Amino acid sequence: MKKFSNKAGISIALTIMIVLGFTTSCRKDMEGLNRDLADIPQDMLAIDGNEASVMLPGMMTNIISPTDWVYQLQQNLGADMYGGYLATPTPYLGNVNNLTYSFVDGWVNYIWDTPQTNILNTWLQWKLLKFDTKYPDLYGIALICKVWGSSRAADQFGPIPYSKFGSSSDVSFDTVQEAYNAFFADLDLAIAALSKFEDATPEADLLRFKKVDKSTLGGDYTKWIRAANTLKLRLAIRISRIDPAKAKTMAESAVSNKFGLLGTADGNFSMIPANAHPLSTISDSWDDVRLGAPTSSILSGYKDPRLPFYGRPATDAAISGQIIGIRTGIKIDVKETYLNFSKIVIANNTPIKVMDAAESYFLKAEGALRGWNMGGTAQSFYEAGVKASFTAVGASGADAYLADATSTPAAYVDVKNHANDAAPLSTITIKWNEGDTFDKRLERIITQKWIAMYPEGCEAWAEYRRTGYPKLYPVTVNNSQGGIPVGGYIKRFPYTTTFTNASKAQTDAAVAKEFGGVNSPYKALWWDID
Amino acid sequence: MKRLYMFFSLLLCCILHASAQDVMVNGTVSDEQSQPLPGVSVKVAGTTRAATTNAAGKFSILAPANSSLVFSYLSYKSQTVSVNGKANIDISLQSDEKLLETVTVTALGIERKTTSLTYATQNVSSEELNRVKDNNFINSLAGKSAGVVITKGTSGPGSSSKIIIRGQKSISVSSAPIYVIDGIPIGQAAGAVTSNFSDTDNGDALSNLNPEDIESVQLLKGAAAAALYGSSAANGAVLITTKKGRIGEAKVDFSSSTMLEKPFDLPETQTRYGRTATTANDMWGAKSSTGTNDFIKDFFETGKSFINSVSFTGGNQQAQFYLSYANTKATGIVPNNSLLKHNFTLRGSGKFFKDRLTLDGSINYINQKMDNPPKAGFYYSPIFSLYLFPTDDNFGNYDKDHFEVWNPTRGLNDQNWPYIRNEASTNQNPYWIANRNLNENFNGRTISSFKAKVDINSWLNVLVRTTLDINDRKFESKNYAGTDAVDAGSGGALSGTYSIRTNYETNLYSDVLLNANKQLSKDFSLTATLGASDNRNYFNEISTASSPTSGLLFPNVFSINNFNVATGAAPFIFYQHTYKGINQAIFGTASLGYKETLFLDATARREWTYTTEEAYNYPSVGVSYILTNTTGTSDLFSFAKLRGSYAEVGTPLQRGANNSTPPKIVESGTGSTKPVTNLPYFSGDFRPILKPERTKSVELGAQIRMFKDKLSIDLTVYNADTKNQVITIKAPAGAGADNFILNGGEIRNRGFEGVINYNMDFGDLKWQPGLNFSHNQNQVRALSPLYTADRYVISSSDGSRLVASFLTRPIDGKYGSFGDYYGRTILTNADGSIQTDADGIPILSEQDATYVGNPNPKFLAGFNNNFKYKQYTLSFLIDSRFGGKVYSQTQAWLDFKGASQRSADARDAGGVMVNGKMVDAQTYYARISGGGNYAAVPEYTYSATNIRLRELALGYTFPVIGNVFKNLNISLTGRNLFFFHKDAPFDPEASISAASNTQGIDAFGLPATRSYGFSVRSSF
Repeated sequence: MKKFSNKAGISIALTIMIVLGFTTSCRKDMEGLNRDLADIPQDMLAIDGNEASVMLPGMMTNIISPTDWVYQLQQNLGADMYGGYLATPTPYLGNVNNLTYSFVDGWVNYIWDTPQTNILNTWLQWKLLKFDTKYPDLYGIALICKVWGSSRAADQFGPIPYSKFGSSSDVSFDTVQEAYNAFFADLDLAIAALSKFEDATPEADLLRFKKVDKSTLGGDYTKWIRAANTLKLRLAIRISRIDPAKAKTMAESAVSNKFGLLGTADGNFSMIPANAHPLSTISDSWDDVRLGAPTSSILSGYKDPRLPFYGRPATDAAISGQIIGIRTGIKIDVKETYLNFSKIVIANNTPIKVMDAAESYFLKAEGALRGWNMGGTAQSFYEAGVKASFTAVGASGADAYLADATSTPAAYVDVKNHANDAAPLSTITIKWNEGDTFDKRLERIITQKWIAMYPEGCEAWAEYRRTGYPKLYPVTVNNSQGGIPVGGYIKRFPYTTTFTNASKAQTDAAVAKEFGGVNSPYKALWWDID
Repeated sequence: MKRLYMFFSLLLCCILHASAQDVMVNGTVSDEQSQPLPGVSVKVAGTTRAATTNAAGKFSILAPANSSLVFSYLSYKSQTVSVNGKANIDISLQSDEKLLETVTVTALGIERKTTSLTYATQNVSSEELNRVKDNNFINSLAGKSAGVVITKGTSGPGSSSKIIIRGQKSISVSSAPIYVIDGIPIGQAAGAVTSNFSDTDNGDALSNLNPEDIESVQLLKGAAAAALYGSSAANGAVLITTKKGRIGEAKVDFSSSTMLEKPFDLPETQTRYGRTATTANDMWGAKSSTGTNDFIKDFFETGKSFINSVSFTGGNQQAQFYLSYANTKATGIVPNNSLLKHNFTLRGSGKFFKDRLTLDGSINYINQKMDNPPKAGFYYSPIFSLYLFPTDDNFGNYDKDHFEVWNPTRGLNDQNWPYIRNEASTNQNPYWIANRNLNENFNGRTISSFKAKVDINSWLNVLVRTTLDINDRKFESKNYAGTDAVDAGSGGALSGTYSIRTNYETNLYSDVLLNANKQLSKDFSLTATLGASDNRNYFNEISTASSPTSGLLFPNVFSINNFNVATGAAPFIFYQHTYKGINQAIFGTASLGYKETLFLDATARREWTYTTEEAYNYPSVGVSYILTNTTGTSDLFSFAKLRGSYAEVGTPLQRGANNSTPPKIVESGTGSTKPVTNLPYFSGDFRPILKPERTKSVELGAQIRMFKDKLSIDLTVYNADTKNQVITIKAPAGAGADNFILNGGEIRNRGFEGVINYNMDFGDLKWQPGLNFSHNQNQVRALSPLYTADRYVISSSDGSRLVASFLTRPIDGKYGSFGDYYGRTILTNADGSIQTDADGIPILSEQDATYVGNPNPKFLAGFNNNFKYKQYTLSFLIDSRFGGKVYSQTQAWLDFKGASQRSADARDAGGVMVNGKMVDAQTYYARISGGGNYAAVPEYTYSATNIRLRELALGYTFPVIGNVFKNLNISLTGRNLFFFHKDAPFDPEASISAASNTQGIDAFGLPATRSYGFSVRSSF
């Protein structure tokens, strides 16, 4: 028995040694566990400010998503069409969808999810990692993206979480007014930070920023400051009726900034698509987008030289060769009906336009019209804007166009269904007439701004709601179950499950505060007053 | 145990021994069926003289005339026969069912006395598994074990099945059990968390084994049974014991199974009304006299499955070998879908140094090729376009000979399909999808296993084991030019797309166990194991695909070298993933027995997983008491045992779940870093540390045998509380992440299960009925106080286009359960009438607003029957599940398109009655179907209750033929033959994916199938 016991003892000791060996010897193998080794760890990015700048491309390219199907949901099947530029021949979901005022949750969610995921959540990482103080210049770019993406969402839904974003796990929403105040504050912060850097080390942007700038501004801080100033002016103009004093202050400070506004020399503020412009896929591969009826009737009435740069001649036998778009929100049974109406002119490598350079002139024109100090007259800015747009598009004949005092928007004829025929939207002409009423001069400015901004529908729809210009066709099929009255035009997107599912209490509070408790698509936003 | 038994036998023989003259004794040993038994040990009692019977069961041995011969054979009762000078002794050995039962394989492969177990396990024998074969043998377990829910995948042969034991315990992490082969864990069953409707099913870890290599399957259902697996134990374990070489002359086993599979329950689309326009993909037009829906059934082929296997085994007392080969060749019901699988197994075992050292090694090689597993849902789904094809159009123009048309300008074939421009998603010719949108999946897998056991003394041994599981997988997809641009992109539509993804995965598991088995005193016995394990996993995946916009350079040449790199900034898409993981543990288990009556059981495991900083401990205790040892047995009660156990086990965190600054991922297309979407919960700056899930489980059980062991009853009740549920939920707007991962709640699974078996003996006729049943109640007991919303969004209806899944905080003692679905409903007024709009059409509630049901069953029962009459056997299995709801998006689309029968009936009737007013059928169905998506869910909800004939087998075993064919058996078999009862218009068990957040939804999944065939098995 003794012999056995000894042996057993040795074996137990051996086993324990093996056990200890197992659990202690392999510690160096523990490196790199618990993550994907093929990804780039945070600590490898400390050179050249890469740890911060690496987050910028995703932010700037998602002001408008470059991903075809996301773009379609975030931008196209809503704002682009409500703004009048574009239309779809496709009767999605039996023609019961956003365009006939029955809101498809799974689409509308992307209007908020896209900027939240790619811009706001990433912005919070800057704060949590303290990169806002470590890299103030790069943070300035992040802030511009943040305001840009958020203001677009706020203009579509109304109240959004912004000034308290990320401060707790369940934050209250800003009212539209609070959000706008925060937008101005953030833009001022960004402009100041970038200006300080540009004054001190003018070449810093080349090293730290140029390689991550996915926009057409080429990594130049001064151009980004100009874009920020122009955005500030845009937002100031937006609140010009509801809060004229604040609007004037903001507008004048934007215009008087030493770096100035975006202009013809800078070109448009656009993002270079990595793959293809989403509209080219949506148009040519999916056949889901065509020119909108307002675009074709306004521009054809004006004999606008820019029209062939926007739309292609229709191939439908009944209207062959003409540039004719489709009305939005009409009866469509099958896709084939309007399939061969005018396609849009778009190439794979066309940059995705976030802001047209010409917009800055039209914004100044309206500012001047309102009596603000914009450094010129309304007429001078109006005409400069039209010329800037012609230059950007590549069209000629701007002078003759500006001298046209007779052309007006054309009537719309729908050869497939004459129930959709419509008289001309307006009698507004092109040539500036200082003697016209304020409203007429405003309509002229907004109409030309609208033409210049094509095809960025988000701004077009917002300005339509603010000013009522250019006049657009109402829907003829209204599936809102009473949410929007017959003949009414959508004023906002109702909150979808992306808000209500996880933030029900906060969404309800915002709706109660801003919209009298009704999450309706016919409730006007704060700045949208008649 | 066996050793002890032999020892007593020998002792007995010694006493009887008396010296005398030697005689040569010859004879034959057979079993109860008079089949010869090879490999039976024949010993002269009290001596070392021994012989072994040959393949014909014959032996010869020189023995003293007055001696006794001891015949012993595994799982048979030993017999001692006096020689008494006889030269010929023919005997028949009786199988010892009690002996068979006495040992159960438990966690880590540790064999334990069955009577001492303190928890429920259930064994499924090789015979039961192989009676009616399925390409994925996991499906053969369905209905055979209490508390186990198996859901077959719908991607054709080779698709993975979902297996859930005792209810869904984990919300975000998989609730699937771990799979264990011969004690070594090889990974988790299928049941991934995230999924969408266009995912491909890539099979799972166990489905590609050769079922003929399996000796038995042991299901460890409760946490206590699996506690030694620690953090992987919460969902139970499926233990596979494989076959090894047998002592005796070389033996060849052959089996062949042929099964034919046919779809049934196809949707009956209406044929009375046609299209609104010739190009319209709807059926809301005028009456048609030419309508037919025969093309639906004509599209499906008869699935064929041939499984042939052969195994060789043999050896002597010192060394044994086992060699097998199996070939599985199957085609699915969708054209061009096939599975080809080769399994090779070689196993050898031997004893060295006077039997002190036992070595056992095996190599498994699996080569599996799966072609074109069909997809459910809306993209690349042949079912979608097939079911929605207008019945007044002529499908013959687009059938298997006409799905493509020659394009003389390009010199290639374009897709021929008039409805390619469908309004919401893509719609392609189903034959084009089957033949021109190809997916080829390959897996080369090698499992090498090595085991060494050293007996230190009679009660102590050391076991060292290591298993290396290498998977080498390749997934290719090829889309031909002419594929819809919505699916393949503009470049892909023009010239085709190609993608190839390869991954290489190794899993190296090693452990060392010190086992003791000692009778401590007259009354006390101890079985104990002490050990340590190390498990390392490595995974590397590389994927490249042509970009949708650029496509291929030369059409239809599928190679990376043909990527169209000249156009576009991002001509191809690529990524790489590299993971490694190390888990280590030390563990011990001890079972103390008192008078073979009372057993106290304890296990402990301390585990270091790489996903958490801390080490965690997982203990379990149990007790079992054999009542009949105290009360004595009677004719009524032959055996009675009570048992109880408690265990705390876990579910590990997922890789990176705890990392709040995860590494950056650069998107191949844009060069931008991807936003971080899932982050550990935080509120402002506050970030709690995530802990692994922990399940505390109690189970109580009783096992009774009555009427001289004829009736056996095994009952278990259990309660498992899973705390610290790791939940990934949609973060509130403005919180700073898309999704939060948090320790968010507590789920309780409480239920009972039982197994009742009976042996009826009417002379030649034997009947063995068996009933198993279970009930599980799942409750969300609490949600985290960290995040105070009343509901946690697990998935919103955007993922399924039909229902959303929420967890709800308990209110007034009312508890929600996991899997609760929310969706739209038709709104009603206080008086019960339907709310309508100005046109009289029902108004639907807001999306995700209303609770609509839960897909999990309330009660399950399987009734298994085996009849035996002389050489004939008949067995059938009736499987039933009660409760739970299933949702059909297919039906919503059929309504929306005017393809459903009821939409035609409504038109015949002049419309649909709403609040006593007739409204237009098309407007009505467009509204309630939500245009196919976001429908009024209760309109498309069905009870999942069903009772079906799951298996049927009729067999005949031939008497020995010419001494060559032994045990030649021919069986006619059938699976899923018919339903005794069913409410849903489709098989409610068919799930579109094995993922837990899309269970119970049918969205253009493959139809249910009925299979029948025959099998032949024989030994040589």
